[in-house]
Amino acid sequence: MSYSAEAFQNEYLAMGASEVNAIVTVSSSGGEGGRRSAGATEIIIVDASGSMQAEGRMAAARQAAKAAVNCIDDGVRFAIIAGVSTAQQLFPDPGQLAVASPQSRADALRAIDRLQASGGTAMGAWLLLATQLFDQRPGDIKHAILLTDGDNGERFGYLESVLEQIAGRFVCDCRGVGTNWKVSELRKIATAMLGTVDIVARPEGLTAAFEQMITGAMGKTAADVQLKVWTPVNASVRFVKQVEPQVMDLTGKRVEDGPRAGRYPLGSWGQESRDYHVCIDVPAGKAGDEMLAARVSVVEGDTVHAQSLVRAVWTEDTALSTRINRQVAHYTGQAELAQTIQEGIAAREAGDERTATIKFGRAAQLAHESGNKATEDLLSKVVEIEDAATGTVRLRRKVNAADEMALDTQSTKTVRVGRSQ
Amino acid sequence: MILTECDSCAEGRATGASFCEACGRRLTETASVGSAGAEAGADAGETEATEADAPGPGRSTGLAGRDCPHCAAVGAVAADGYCEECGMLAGRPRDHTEADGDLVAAAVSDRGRRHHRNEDAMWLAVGTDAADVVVCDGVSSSFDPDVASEVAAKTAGELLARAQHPGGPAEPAGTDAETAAQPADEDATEPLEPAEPALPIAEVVGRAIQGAGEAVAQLVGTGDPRRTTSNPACTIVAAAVRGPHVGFGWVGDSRAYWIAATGPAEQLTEDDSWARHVIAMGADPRVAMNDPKAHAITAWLGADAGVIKPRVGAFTAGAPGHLVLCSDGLWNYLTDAQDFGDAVRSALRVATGPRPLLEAARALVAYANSAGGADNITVAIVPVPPRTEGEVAEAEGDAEINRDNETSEA
Repeated sequence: MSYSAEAFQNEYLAMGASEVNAIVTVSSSGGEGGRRSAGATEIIIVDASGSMQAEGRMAAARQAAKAAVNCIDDGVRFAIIAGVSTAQQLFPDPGQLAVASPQSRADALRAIDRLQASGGTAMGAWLLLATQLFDQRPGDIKHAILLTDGDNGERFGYLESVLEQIAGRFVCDCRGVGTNWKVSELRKIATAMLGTVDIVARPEGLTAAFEQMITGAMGKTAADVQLKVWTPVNASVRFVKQVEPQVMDLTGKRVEDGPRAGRYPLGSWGQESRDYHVCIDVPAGKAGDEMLAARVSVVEGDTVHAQSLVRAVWTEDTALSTRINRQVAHYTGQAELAQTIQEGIAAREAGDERTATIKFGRAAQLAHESGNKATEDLLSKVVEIEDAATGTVRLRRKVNAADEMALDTQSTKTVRVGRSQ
Repeated sequence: MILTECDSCAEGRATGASFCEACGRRLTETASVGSAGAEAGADAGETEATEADAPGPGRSTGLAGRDCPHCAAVGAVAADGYCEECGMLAGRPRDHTEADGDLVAAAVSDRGRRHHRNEDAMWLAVGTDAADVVVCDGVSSSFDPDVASEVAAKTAGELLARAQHPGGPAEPAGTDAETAAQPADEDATEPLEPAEPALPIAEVVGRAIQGAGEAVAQLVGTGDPRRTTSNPACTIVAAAVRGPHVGFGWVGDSRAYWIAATGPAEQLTEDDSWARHVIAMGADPRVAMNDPKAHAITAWLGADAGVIKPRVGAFTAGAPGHLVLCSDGLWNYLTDAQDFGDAVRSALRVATGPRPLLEAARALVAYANSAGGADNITVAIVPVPPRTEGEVAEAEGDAEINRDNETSEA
């Protein structure tokens, strides 16, 4: 795999300034000829609780799971978990992983036909079983899909304790079907497991969603890539966030690596490009001083794939220090957009319409300014946007629950800024 | 780099490569200047300079394992020049560069005390009674101004070196290959004006500046994409000295002075700057020079500069004196012409070592640094011998300045 890391920043700081911001774009050309550098394991977790009976969801989920199985490459290990009040392995035999082949896929499809909806929702237990299965394959590229249609029924705090235990052990993409599940709950899982969260409003959309997730997972060629950030003495990392393709705060996932460096997990990688916002606090320097605020490297184990430098140069020349770096400005705006939407939705749920209107107004403005058309369109289903430029909006009296949930899940999706500057 | 007399033939002017223009023999280099090597687009802070020749002070490649000059951490400087402990940059190749042309000329360029890097660049090539000197100052508000100045100094210097100067040493035989390699606009056989031997030199300088302008303009399409937003730009002042004859030219606010044995320095150039403009319109010079806009230049080299129209001038020294080229990092501390002349003469007076010109240039840089060092400082000193009895035209003991404000025809 060949990686590149490129930092975009205005390295010039005003006198006394001590905050250094940079956007680091990490790109990879993927594996040699698309080949994985490691084995791969795929686990599909399908909620089979009683509520899945409604709206033909169970039938759609069976169909989607079959489609997903058909997308798994030969040689990849896989398993299917049926999610009820406990976790039950549907395929292959309990505690085993199957190796994908025409024969094993056919067996899996027959097993999926037996999937019936009955029982409760116990996401923590489902994820624990998946973890136990994944643990048989150290070094593999590990990916799971979790499909649910409702709230977690486990005792309060249990899911969080499980996530704390298994965070980063595999990548988990979460999908909610219908509108009776909680975005915040699945977001919690996706964030801990470096995955995505999205709504599949109508059961008939499940097959496409599953195929897309599996295809994406099959395209990953490296298992455990990390961002290593070195900072000098007396400097500290304020935050490290993935900002493209979606906003994800990695700050709390730091694992120390020696006295001056920390590693942030990036999950598995294929042929792709992602942007990270690195913010470093440094001691302010004198006029003309130049400091290396951070060395940002893409690492896998002891291998350094690529490195870029985040610099700080103190200057009395305000023409230099007031330059706005477009990347930093754009992604700062995208992160604010995500947060503002989530605050707007929370305010609306709490019945605070005034705050909701202000937040959605600001969100409309940010989405419009940054050319995030997808988010602007979703916003317009929740509020009437009278003037996006000034952020003038009116709350809609009637909002389709699916639209609001779509806005919530999509709020973290960002658009890439042009590289012309 | 600086090139000195080739041992094996009389032709000692630089070709920009380290070979004698006339016979192809390698020349000895005594110092490096900040006008060689680093590829356009290379950021001196992040990449190794590509200069394969004389290592300059603070070269990033040579810093690995040194003690940090900021936090004193032992052996903490990494290969890229940053301290592994405190993160501070230990130094850059262009922070301080010197060009030593022995008794013919010398030049020093220094980062100063307030700027994080040296965006000035210089070129110096010396021969027998001949010197080509160029000083460029990057426009800080542009992207990669350090690259602009470097490319401009190098390009102008190479063009000066390749030109056929009147008044220079006779060209030995066997230079056909070199002549063929000259730019197309170079007319090597143009008839000389014996009465005004310095004027054609000024035209050569003008053409060299135009060539430098073209090279800097081309930087916009290379390297950092931000160059398209604010293209690399710089000033330039260049001079060619052939015996007593001096041709010079400039764009921007880097200056050339003539310093006679006594009296005020004679400013040969006229800044293309806001301050100069308002002074010409009657503003108080002291007030104007202290205005924040004082150094805003009205002409420069760069993609957005349009057609470069360097102003040129020429003179023949009638009495001994020194030609000084410098960036505003020096002259801004010596805006009074008498002060400037005194400062240069005093620097020359105290320089009593084996390399008096280099010592004098260092002393002027030190003066600017002690006065504040608010900008990059570059200064070049070339003593000019007066016309001998055998030469035509009468000298009045002072230099006759023959300033030509027309664009030199390219």
